[in-house]
Parts: sequence; structure tokens; C-alpha cells
Amino acid sequence: MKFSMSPAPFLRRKRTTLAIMLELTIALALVWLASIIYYFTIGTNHGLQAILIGVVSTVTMMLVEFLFYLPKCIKDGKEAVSKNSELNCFKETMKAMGYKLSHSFGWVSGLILALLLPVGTPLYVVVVSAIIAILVGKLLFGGFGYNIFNPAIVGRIFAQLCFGTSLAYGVEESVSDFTIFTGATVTSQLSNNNWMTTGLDIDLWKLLLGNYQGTLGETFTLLILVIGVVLAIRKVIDWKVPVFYVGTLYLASLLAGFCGGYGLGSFEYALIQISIGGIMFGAVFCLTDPVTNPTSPSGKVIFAVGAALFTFVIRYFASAPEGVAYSILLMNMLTPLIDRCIKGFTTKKLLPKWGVIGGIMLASMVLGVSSGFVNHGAYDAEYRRQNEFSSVVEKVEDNVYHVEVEQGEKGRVWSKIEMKVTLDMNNRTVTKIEVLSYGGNGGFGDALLTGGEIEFSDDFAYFGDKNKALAFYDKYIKLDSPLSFDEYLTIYGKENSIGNWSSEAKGVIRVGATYTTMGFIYGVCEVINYAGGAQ
Amino acid sequence: MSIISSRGYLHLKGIKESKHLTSDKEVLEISNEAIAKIYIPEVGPNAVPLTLNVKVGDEVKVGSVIGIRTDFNIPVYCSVSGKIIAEEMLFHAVAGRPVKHFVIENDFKDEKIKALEPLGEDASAEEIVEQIRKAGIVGLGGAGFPTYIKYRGVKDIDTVILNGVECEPFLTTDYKEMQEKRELLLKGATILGRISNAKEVIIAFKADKVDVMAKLNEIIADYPLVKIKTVKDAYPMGWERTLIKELTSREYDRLPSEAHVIVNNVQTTIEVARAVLYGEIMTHKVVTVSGDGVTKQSNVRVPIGTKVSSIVEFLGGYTDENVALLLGGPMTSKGQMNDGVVILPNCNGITILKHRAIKSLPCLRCGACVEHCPAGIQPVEIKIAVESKNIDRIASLNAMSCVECGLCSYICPSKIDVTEFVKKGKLQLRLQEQKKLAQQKAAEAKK
Ligand code: SF4
Ligand code: SF4
Repeated sequence: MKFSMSPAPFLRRKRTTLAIMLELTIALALVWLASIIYYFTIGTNHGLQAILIGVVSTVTMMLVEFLFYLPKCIKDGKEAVSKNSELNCFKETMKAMGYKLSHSFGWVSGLILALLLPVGTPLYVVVVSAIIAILVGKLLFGGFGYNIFNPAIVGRIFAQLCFGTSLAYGVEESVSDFTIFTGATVTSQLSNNNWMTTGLDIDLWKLLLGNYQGTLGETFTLLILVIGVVLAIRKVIDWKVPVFYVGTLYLASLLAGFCGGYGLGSFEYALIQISIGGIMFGAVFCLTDPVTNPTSPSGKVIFAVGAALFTFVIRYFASAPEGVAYSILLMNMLTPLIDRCIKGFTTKKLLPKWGVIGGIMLASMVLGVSSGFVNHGAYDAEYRRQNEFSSVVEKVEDNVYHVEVEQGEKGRVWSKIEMKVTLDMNNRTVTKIEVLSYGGNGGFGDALLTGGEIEFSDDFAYFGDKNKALAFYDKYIKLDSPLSFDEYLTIYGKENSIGNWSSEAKGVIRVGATYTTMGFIYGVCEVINYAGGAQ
Repeated sequence: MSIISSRGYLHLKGIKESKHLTSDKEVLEISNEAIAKIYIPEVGPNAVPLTLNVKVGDEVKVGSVIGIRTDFNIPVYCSVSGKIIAEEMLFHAVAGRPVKHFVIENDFKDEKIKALEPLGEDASAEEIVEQIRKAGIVGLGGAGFPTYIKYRGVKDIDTVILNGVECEPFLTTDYKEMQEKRELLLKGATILGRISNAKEVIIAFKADKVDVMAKLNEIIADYPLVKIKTVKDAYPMGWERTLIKELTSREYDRLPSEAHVIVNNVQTTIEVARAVLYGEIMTHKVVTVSGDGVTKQSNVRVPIGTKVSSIVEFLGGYTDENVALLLGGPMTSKGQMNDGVVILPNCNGITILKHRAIKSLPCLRCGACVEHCPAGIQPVEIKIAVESKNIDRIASLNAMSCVECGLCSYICPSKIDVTEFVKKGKLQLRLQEQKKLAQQKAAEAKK
């Protein structure tokens, strides 16, 4: 008879860390699946790439862990054999390895990193980032449970800093950090606009469903929300963290909206703000990583509102579109400090604790209000338009004008369009347009101006509904029949904002080439204005 | 507000099933065979030595005084009649080491010495408290603290809470006794209310005990002082602090009396009624024997001093070669080194569980332990401080407030023995305290 002397309690909850991690894995896999399906609807290569990024990232991380733990597992294997010579050393080593790998949860970081990368990320970038993520972000700290930073975020930021340009491959508006397409991502458009949504072609539903460009996982806001709720109910993640994080951001954006003069539209504006730029993904899958969270409930809330404050600051004032990743890293860094500061009973001194939380939230609100006021003035003056497009119109001969449109931002020129426009002032129509030169980086925008003569590579197939481009070209550029001034002027809109553009133009914009379309129409309208054709 | 503070309790999954193992079965009477010999330790329930009254060779009867506790001046009685035939070193659960026990050969004649006289209706509070002392009644909820101390010179008490919550899994003795001895319970409740001058006496148990509720309600009209309140099925709802907060919304620093409350166990109350009204002392105890490590689970009535091994044998023995043998419930009780231990008045049950190896992982830092700690402290932070030997931090985290309920280890998804770390932290603090005192003394001596 043997009596067990292990310490009390002798009952343990069934729930294990492994089970929690497996549930998280399923959740991540669902998001991944959604993104694979989405990218397959765009093109086979996109879909395959979405699969590959996930697989490569996960396999790389587990491989690094395998190599890292190999010496120890061999030692364990040998030890087991020395105790019982009947055992097979290789088998024992593998057994130890199996346990180690299955309880180190490398694949979770692997999946998260993959979902944080855009679909155009070159695979070698994925590999290098994954290695850095798992090695620097986790193993060097002592492995699972001892890491200070969220490994996936470490990898993501590393990829950004070292391979930013290749992530942004083919981007016209390379100001955007995480963009890979010719079309500006929603976040980069917003960032160009100081985060005000006028001039943004966004359909809220599209945003929620994730039907737009972004990183692999971040766009499926609604799906992430649903998964987040389930995970919170199942206590895989702590509800307090995402709720306080997103809640603070929502309130701050709401205030920014009100002070920016959106009126009731502020609610939608704020909703858009929290639906983009990976906020939801970050809130549900990255911010909540318990290992990098404070342990006490009040610490977690402070952590969440602090991250919200950083996100807000980075977004609005440092103009980095994806403030989420940086803010998570920053708060990870502060976690030990937060833990340190929370002493004594968790049930006492609640008022000061709420005071700190409230103070940080208040700071976000104040920032929201001030950013709202700052941008308010800017928009009234149509300040952005002046900065984004400029044109030089010259009369070449009667009714024929040469126009050069420069499209840029803050003193930088992104692209130029040069064209000759012939007008019929009597009938108030444009009779001929000759595009002399254009952006020329081979994207969809170029195809738009040349009637699809540019070969659509598979990569660009995504934007292209080639037919739409052709239709646009035929109607507005090739001019099968003269087109009235009003057609252009209406598209152009009073506000010079894409939001007011006609549905045809929108159709094009929706598939990319936002600024090319805008610039082209702008140029033609400038000519009409110059000639005195606008009334 | 509770968003950022500890919830303080948790519903234990499977607790109903664990209780059902024994709750619906009749209480068994132990066989004579199993109690042919009875063992009474020569120390009190808290392992403090007794001033002995008997010696080897003496004839004893039910009610003979074996000895007097030196710490609290209360008697320990013999539970059977027979002859003390030897002394034997047996393991003592509280002392944590073997201590001398008298071995009493049971002659099954059940001859009694009238240890106490019943008190009349008009007995004064002092007389009743004295009677409780003389009866040697200790808290039967587990601590074994002498009951009379709580009522000696009481003032400023407005509520007496009778604790029948029994929040540990498996245990059902409170439930069984409440069912069977409802009148004694209500009478005892009235007595305790009277001697403490309380405005009300609350009998508290879990909301699912509807049958107890119904039985008590049938006759409660005769006891105007007594009320029944139910609490949720959560752990550790039976712990004084949690129970008082739940029932009265009051909190206190050190002792319940600061919140004008006295808490007693329901079985203690029943013993009080027996002693005061009938002059009876406690000789037997119902114990729950349960868990998957014993062949037959049941409540058994045994004389105090019965060896655990004979009770297990009576119930068909162990089901496995390797079991954890616990005196009490599985959440707080230590594993016993062997089954030679004996049943003392404050032992509610024997939980026997098949051995399960637990493999722990690194801390996930999930905070579940913090979120549920009934003491409102941060077990995981104390664990980290203990690991890094940061005594100041352990102190600043109020490790001393831990009640060792085991909830933090229970909830931990990484299966870390968090409770053990906190206990270690407490030990380190105590050692440091002692060191400081010693240093102070040394310094004074120098002067
Ligand atoms: S054992 Fe101590 S630290 Fe752990 S939950 Fe209970 S009271 Fe809190
Ligand atoms: S419950 Fe366990 S894993 Fe969670 S914080 Fe506490 S010790 Fe760590």
C-alpha cells in the first residue's frame, strides 16, 4: 500500500493550459481559414500564398524550438536509458521532445505572426521574422511562460523595421507601413487623411466582414469579434483586456468625431476606427496573451487602457497607421512594473486603482478631443486637397490644353499624370484625351489609363476587374463619344472627396488605384476650370 | 467594483456528484470488530499535551476523563468502556508526527459515568458557558478550537452564524446531522443566541439542500430567534470570512467578533444542545468516507478514537495500490503517511482518492489564482517572490492572510502547487520574524 503525499488540494480543475492553448489554436485557425477563403476568391496565387505564410511561419517556429530543445531532450533521453536499459534512446528523446514541443505552444505564435503579415510578404521574410520572433521573443527569455514580449508582435515589428519595403512592395502610397498593393489599404488612406473618414471610400459592412486589403488576419472584424466573445466566455482570454482596450479607443474616437464635426456620424466614424488597422485582431489575440499581461485584475485593466492610450498616440500623432503592434510591445514592457506596483489585497484600495484606470482613460479622451479639433480646421479649409494634388495647366492651342497632375503628400510626389485634353466649349464636352505619361509602376492604376494594355500579372489580378478598368477607360479616357463636363465635375464632387464620387468611379476605386483615378479626374476638371467651363 | 478585485469563491465542478456518493445513503454503524480497540491520543486536537488523568491498566468508562488540555483547560473524555491496555506511538494528523496514544480495549458494555448534569431552563449564560467547557466541546468544523472561549464574556455580538455550508467536496456529515437532529440543532441555536445576546441566529447552508430546508421550516416557528439562510454552492463559502461577508456584507480584520458575529459549526451546535439540555458528552462522530479510493462510500458513525484503517477495512478496503488518504476534504487536507491515524472530534471525513500524478507547466500568468483567492491576495505574485527569495515583497503581498484554502492550486491551469508556494512564503515570513526577535533580544542583552 502506498500513500500519496503530494500537497493539497487533491482535486484540480480539469482545465489545463494545454486545453486553453488548443482552444486558442482553433480560434486562430478559423481566422486563418477565413483569410484563405477570402484570398482564394481573389486569385489562386493569393490563396496559396495565404496558406504558405501560415505554414511557413508555424513550421519555422516549431523547427527553431526543436533545435533549441534538442540538446536537453537528448540528455533526458540518455538519462531515461541509463535508468532503464531496455528503453530506446532515440524513442525516449523523441518522447521528451514531443512533450516539450506540445507544451511550448510555438504554433500559436506562428499562427499569430502569419495573420499579422500581409499576403504579399515574401516567404524568406516570413522565415526570418519567425526565427526572430521565437528566438528573441521567447526562447532566449526562457521559453513559454517567461517571455516578456509577445513573440508574434516581436516578429511582426522586426519584419516591419527590416523588410518594410518588401512588405510594401508595389505600393504607390508607400507612406503606409503595412501595404503591399497598388491600392492604398484602408489604414493608409486614413493615415493620409489624419484619420478622418471624409475622403475615404469605406463601406462599414465591408470593413466588418473583412472584405478589403490588410494583413491576413486583421480584416475580419466581425468574425474576430464573435470568436473573441466565445473565447472570453470560455475563459481562454480575459474579457477585461479587449473590452477596456477597444472601449477606450471607441470613446476617444467618438470624441474625436464629435469635435471633428461629424455630429451623429461620429458613432459610425468611431466604429470604423476600431474596425481597422488590426485593432480587433490585436485586442483579441495579441493583447490578451496572458504571459505578457499583468496577473492581477486591476493590472490587466490598467494594461488595456494603457495600450489604448499608446495606440491612440501612435496613430494620430506619430502617424504610424498600425499603432497596435507598437502599443502592445510598449505595454508588454511595462507589465513587470504594473505587477510590481500592485501590492496588498486585490479587494482593497479599489478607489485609487480605479483612479489610475480612469486617469489613463481620461488622457485618451483628451487626446481624442484635441485631435478632433485639430482636424476640424484642416478639413474646413480643404487643406488636404491642396496637399494631395496639384496641377499645371497650359493652353497648347485653341481648346487643347496640356495638364500635368502631381499627386503627393507633404511635399513628396508619388506619381504624375501628364495629358492633353481637348474641349468643345460650345457643347460643354470633352472630346479627346491623350495620356502622355503616367505613374508607370505597372499597377492597376496604369492599366486604368491605358485601357488595360498593361499586362495584368497574377498579383494584380486582385484589383482587376479588368472589365471595370476597360469600361472606365472607354468612357472617361478613350471617349467613344464626347463626354459632358458635368460627368467629370459630378464625379469630382464639390468636396473633392472620393466619398462623393459617382458609382462608376467608386467601382474602380473599390478595386484599387484610388489615387490614380482621383488624380485623373482631378486633372480633367482642372482643365475644365481653367478653360472656364465650370459654372 | 468587483471587476478589478478578487471574486473570492468559485463553484467547484463535480461537487454535487461527489456529495451524492454518500448523501443519500443511511449512516452506517461501525462493526464491533472495527472498534475492538480504541486509541485516544495523549495530546489535544491541536497537538498540545494533556495533563493525564489515567494510566495504562486503568479501567475506563464512557465519560471517564482521559486528561485535561493544558492550553484551554478542557477535558478529553473516553468514548467507550473497557481497559487501557497499552500505549502506542501512532501518527497524529495535526501534530504531523507520531505521538503516544492510549490503547483501550473495548468491552462493549458501554458503561457510562455521568460526566455532566443537565442544566435547567433558567440557567444563566455563565453556567451554560461553563457547561460547554466542561463538556469539552471543540469546533467540529475542522479547527478544533474550544467553543466556550468564543462565548466567554461576549459582548457586542448581534449575529450568530451556524455554519452548515460544508463547502469541501465529498463531505456530507453536516448535511446528515442537520437532517437527523433538527430539533437539537434549533435548540442549540437558541442556546447560543441566548448566551451571546445576539439578535438573530442564522443557520446557513447551501441552497440545494431543500430537504433540510423543508425539515427545519416545519418546526422553526417554535424558535423565533433562529433564521435560515442559504448560500450559493461555491468554495470556500464555508470559510468564516467569506460566509460572514456573504450573509451580512460585513468585513473584518482579524476576528469575526469585530464584525459582531460569532460563527459555529452546526454539529458543534448540536453537541452544545446535548450537553446543556441532557448533560451528554460527545463520544461518537459521523464521518464521511468517500472518494474513488475506497470500495464503498458511506457515512459511518464511529466512537472517537477509531483507527482509520479499521474504518476503511469495514467499508471494503482500498481500490488501488496507491492512494491519497486525507483526513477531511480534498481541498485543504494533507495526505496522510499511513492509515494508523485515529478519528478525533474535529475530523469530518476521510477522503480517499486514487493517486493521480500531476505534471505542472510554467505559469501561464493567467491570473485565475488572483481572481479567485478568497483572502484577496495574489498567489502567483507571492509564488514569484518566493522563487526570487524577495521577503519584503512576500510581506507586501500580505502572504500571511492566506487561509490555505487550496483554491489557487485548484484553479491553476498549469497545475502549479501555488498554495504550497504561498505556505512557503508564510513560513519564510515567520522565520524572519523570529530572527528579528532573536536579534532584538541579543541586542538588548548586550546593553
Ligand atoms: S490557498 Fe491562500 S493564496 Fe491560495 S487561494 Fe486560498 S487563501 Fe488565496
Ligand atoms: S493560476 Fe496558475 S498559471 Fe494562472 S497565474 Fe496563477 S499560478 Fe500562474
